[in-house]
Amino acid sequence: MLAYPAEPASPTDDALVQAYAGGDVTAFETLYARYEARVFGFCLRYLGDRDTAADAFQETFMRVVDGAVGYEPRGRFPSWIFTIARRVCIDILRTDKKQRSVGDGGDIPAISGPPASDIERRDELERYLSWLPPEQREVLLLHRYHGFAYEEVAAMTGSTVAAVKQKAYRALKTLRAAVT
Amino acid sequence: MMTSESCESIRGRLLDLLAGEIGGEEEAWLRSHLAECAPCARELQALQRTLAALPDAAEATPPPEVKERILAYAREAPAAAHAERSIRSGDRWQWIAVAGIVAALFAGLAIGVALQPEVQPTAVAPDFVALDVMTGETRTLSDYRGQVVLLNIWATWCGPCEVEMPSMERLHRRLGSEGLRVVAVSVDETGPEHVSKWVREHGLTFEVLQDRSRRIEWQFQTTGVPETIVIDRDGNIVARQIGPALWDGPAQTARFRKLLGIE
Repeated sequence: MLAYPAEPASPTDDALVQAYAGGDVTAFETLYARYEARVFGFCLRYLGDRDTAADAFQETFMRVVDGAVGYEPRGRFPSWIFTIARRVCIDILRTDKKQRSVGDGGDIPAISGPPASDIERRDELERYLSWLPPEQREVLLLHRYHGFAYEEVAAMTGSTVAAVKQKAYRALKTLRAAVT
Repeated sequence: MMTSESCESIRGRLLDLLAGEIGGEEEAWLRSHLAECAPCARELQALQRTLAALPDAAEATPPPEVKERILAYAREAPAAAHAERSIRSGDRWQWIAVAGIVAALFAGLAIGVALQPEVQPTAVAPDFVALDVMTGETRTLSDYRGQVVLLNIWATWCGPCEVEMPSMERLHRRLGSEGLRVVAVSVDETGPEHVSKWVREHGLTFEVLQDRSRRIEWQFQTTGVPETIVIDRDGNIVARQIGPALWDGPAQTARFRKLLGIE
């Protein structure tokens, strides 16, 4: 599992948010650099489309800017920003529901045949990941790819730990079809 | 011998086992079951293979112009000022304008105009007259009374106008059915067939009109093209954008949805 590296002792994310709220724009730039790739990666995998992911990513950081003053420094900045990103992605999926043909949790397409190579297998998995229902996909993304504990994922998604684990299990069972 | 119910229960805990969240006697009990139960053991192996095969890359780089927009939004005023201004509607709107200009500059387009502050929301939009380049019919603003209108004033020779058209098309497709009217009025002095050809070539499906007299420019006191005016259902101008913008981002879309009264 890819877990987040330990938060640097100084300056912490919380300290950077507070510094920015006080007018230090450099602090925001540092914070942005820390989370740019991770948050965009999340949006990209959640939405499956680079242009839409860029919109979600931009909106996420703008909300961070807007919310910096009211931010409560409890050492959970990653949870906060990914919770925002998740909400933005959900809003986009809801807005685009009529237009989207993938990633809507519909029936997963049949496999044409066993993948012939690791690269094909990986591509197949990426495709399957985009076809997972959003509630399963987000659990897998937050836990597996972004290192949040099940308890944190439950808090971020407004669910129970048991339900989160169940969704992760179902997601992996679905993805298994691309591996076996 | 374990029952099928206990196998089901165990399979639900295999992820915990793989994550190292189960230890001690419980782990020993689970592993003894797995040693005896082939289906559960196969399930564990399949999960292991799936986890191992998942792509590792959790990170990706956003388009550079997006970074510029975000940092411009964050830089221009400290967060405290943003929080204060966010109480007022229209805060984001002004920054979307900045974002549009930054995006155009990034694309190498020279824009000789500055951001104009949002106009007073009580300003009534003047009634223009223009020709529909696809049907040849005459249209006026009063034709759209009761609807939210994104009125874009543009020209085929204008590079920045072309830049923002795709996002207007996406906005139209997204919210057109909800009551948003995207209306682009060309001020080209050439014939309408030139404009209609341009429209077809660019695959635009929203309404494109033409005012060869360019009267609309002084009616709306524009400073050039592109310039976009947002008009609410009561016919009031609620926002003005000088220069190109990206019209279909989440914040912009939310703004239009609010104007449409659908959230």
